[in-house]
Amino acid sequence: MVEVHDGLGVSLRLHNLLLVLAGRLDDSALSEAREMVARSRLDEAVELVAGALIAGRIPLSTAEQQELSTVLEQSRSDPELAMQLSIGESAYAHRFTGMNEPDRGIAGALDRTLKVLPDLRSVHAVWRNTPAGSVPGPLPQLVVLVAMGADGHPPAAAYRLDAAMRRAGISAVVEVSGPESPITAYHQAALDVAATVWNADSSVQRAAPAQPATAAAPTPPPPMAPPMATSAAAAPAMPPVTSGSSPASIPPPPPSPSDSSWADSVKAVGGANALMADAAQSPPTLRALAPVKDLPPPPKGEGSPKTPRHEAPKPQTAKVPPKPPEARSEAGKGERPDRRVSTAELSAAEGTQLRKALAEDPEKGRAMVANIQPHDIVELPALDLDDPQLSERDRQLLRELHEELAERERAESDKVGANGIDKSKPSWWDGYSGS
Amino acid sequence: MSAPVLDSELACHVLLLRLAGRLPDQTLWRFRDWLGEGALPTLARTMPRALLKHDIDLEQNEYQLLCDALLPHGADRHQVSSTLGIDEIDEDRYSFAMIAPDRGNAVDTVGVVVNAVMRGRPEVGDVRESWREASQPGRPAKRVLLVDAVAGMPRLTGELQRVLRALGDAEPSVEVLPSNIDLPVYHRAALESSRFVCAGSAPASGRLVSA
Repeated sequence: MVEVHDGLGVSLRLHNLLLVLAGRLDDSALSEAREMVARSRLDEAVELVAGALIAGRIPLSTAEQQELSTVLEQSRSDPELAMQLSIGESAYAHRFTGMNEPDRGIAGALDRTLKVLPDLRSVHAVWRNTPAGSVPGPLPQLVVLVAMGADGHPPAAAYRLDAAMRRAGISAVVEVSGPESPITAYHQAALDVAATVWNADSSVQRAAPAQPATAAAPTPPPPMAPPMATSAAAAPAMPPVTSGSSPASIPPPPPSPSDSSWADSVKAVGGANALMADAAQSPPTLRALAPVKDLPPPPKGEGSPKTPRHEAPKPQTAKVPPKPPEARSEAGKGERPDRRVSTAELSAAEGTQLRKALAEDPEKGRAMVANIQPHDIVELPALDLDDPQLSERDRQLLRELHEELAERERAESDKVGANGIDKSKPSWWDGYSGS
Repeated sequence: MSAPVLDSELACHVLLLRLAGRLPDQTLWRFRDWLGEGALPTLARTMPRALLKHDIDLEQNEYQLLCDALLPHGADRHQVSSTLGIDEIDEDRYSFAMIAPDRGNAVDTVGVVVNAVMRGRPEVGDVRESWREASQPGRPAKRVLLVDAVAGMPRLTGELQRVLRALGDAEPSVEVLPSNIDLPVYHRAALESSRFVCAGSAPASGRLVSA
C-alpha cells in the first residue's frame, strides 16, 4: 500500500535517525545532514548518511537499516543503498567532560536564536574527548544538547542553532531533541556531565550579552582532561519500525521498571504537564534528551549556570501547575515572598493612591488593578504589612490585591510561551510545511 | 585515437580530480573518502545526481570517465546521460598563493604531520602545498595538498584527508595526481604557486615543480 507522506514526517524521521547515529557518524556528516533536512533537501541528507555509513563500515542494527531504507524511499532516494550497509552490533565508548567551560560564549552566540525559536526548553554543553565516525574531526569536540517542547520543530532548530554557533566562531555539533526524540546512551552520558548554558525557566537571569566571536569560542580542555562520563555504547535506540508509518504513529512500549523513578518524580510535581507525563511513560528510546527543568535560579555563589554538573539532571516539569485554591491558602505566608518578586512594580505614589482607593472603595481598587496591562507587570513591591499607618482592613485588602495580581500574572504567563511567543496568536511556525 | 579505458576506481579518481574547484569542497572530499574505501556502488547511486543538483556539466572526456567509473556499479543511465554538457567549461576560477596570506610565520602543524606520514613512502613522489585564495571576501585561504603518486591514489587521498581532518581542516583538499594524466587547469595553477613539503621514495615525475 502506498502511503502519502508529508515532508514534515519524513524530516522528523530522518532527524531522529541522525540522533540515533550521533557518536557513530562523524560530526560533519551529522551537521551537514541536519542542514539539508532543515532546507528540505531530504534525499541529499539521507544519501550522505547512507554513504558515510557504508564507506565507514559503520554497523547498524537491522531495525536501523530498515528505518534508513524507509527514509531513503520516502525521500525519493534509492532504497538499494540500505542493502550496502553493514549489519552488526555497535560498541562505541565515548568520554565526555563538563570541565573547562564547554558553555563559554554559547549563551551569547545563541542569544537571539533562543529568543526567536519556539518552545526551546534547555541548552547544555559538554566536551567529547573521543572521535566519532570513520573520518573524525579534531578533538575535543564540543557537543551542544538542546531540548525542545512539542511546539518546536527539532530539525529546523538544530540547523538554526548550529548556524548561530558557526557565525560566532564556535565549532560544535548540535543535538536537538523533541518530546518524542530517541535518547541514546551517548546523549545520556553527555547530559550527565554537561554544563547548563540556558534554561527557559530562568532565561531572564541567564541571558548573556553577545560577545565578540573571537572571545566567545570556548577553549578546548587539555587533551588529557579527565573523563567525567562514559557512554558504554551507542545502544541501538531505534523505535520499532512500521513500514510507512510516521514517528508519531509508533506505539510506545509500556514503561519499564527502570523508568519508575523518573515517572514518579514527574508525578510528584503535579503530573499536569502532558508533555513530560508522556515522556515519562515512554521508553528510554522515546524520551526527550534533557528532562525539562523548572529549577529556581541557583543562589549567587553556588551552582552557577556555568558550573559543570557532575550528576544527571533530575527530571522535573517545565511549569509547576497552579495549585488549587485550598493548597494556596494552606501554603500561607511561606509563598508570598516568592510571589512578590515577580509581580508588579508600583511607585510609592501609585501604592499610596491604590491603598487609599482600596480603603475607600474595594471595587474601585480592583478596577485600578484591572487596568494594569500585562507588559506593565514587572515586580510587586514587598508586602509591607507592618506599616503602623495601616489598619487591619487595609492589610486584608492589600493581601487580596497581591493575591489578585499574582493570579493575573500566572494567567498571562500561561498564555505566553517559553520564549515569549504568544500562544494565542498564530505564528509562522503554524504554517510550516516542512516540505 | 580514443583515450585508454581506465578501471572503474581510477576513472572515478581522475574524474574527482577534474571536479576540484567545481564540486563544492564539502561534497568533493566526501566522495573521495568514499572512493578511498572502495564504495563505488554508493558513488554510483549518489554522484550523478549530485552533479546534476550542483549544475555541473561534464566535458566529453569527463563524461566518459563517469560512464567507465559508475555505470558498471549500477548508476542510473538517465542521470549519467544528463551530465554531458555542450558548452566549454570555465576552469580558471581560482588563484593560488605559495604562502597563506593570513598565516604569516605561524607554526605549521599540518606540514609537520604530512611530512612525518608521507616521507619515504614507496608510492609517493613529491608532496607540495599551495593556498587557494577564497572566492568570498573575509574567508580564509584554503590549503591544497598536491601529491605525486604512482599507485593506490584513491586510498592515499582518503588517508591524507583523514589526517587533515583530525588536524582541523573539515573539508580537506588533497589532490593525489597520477603520473599518466594531463593536469587540469586548476592543478596547473596550484602547482605554479606551490612550495615543497616532502618527498616519498617514488621517482618524481617532474611535474610537481613550481614554475
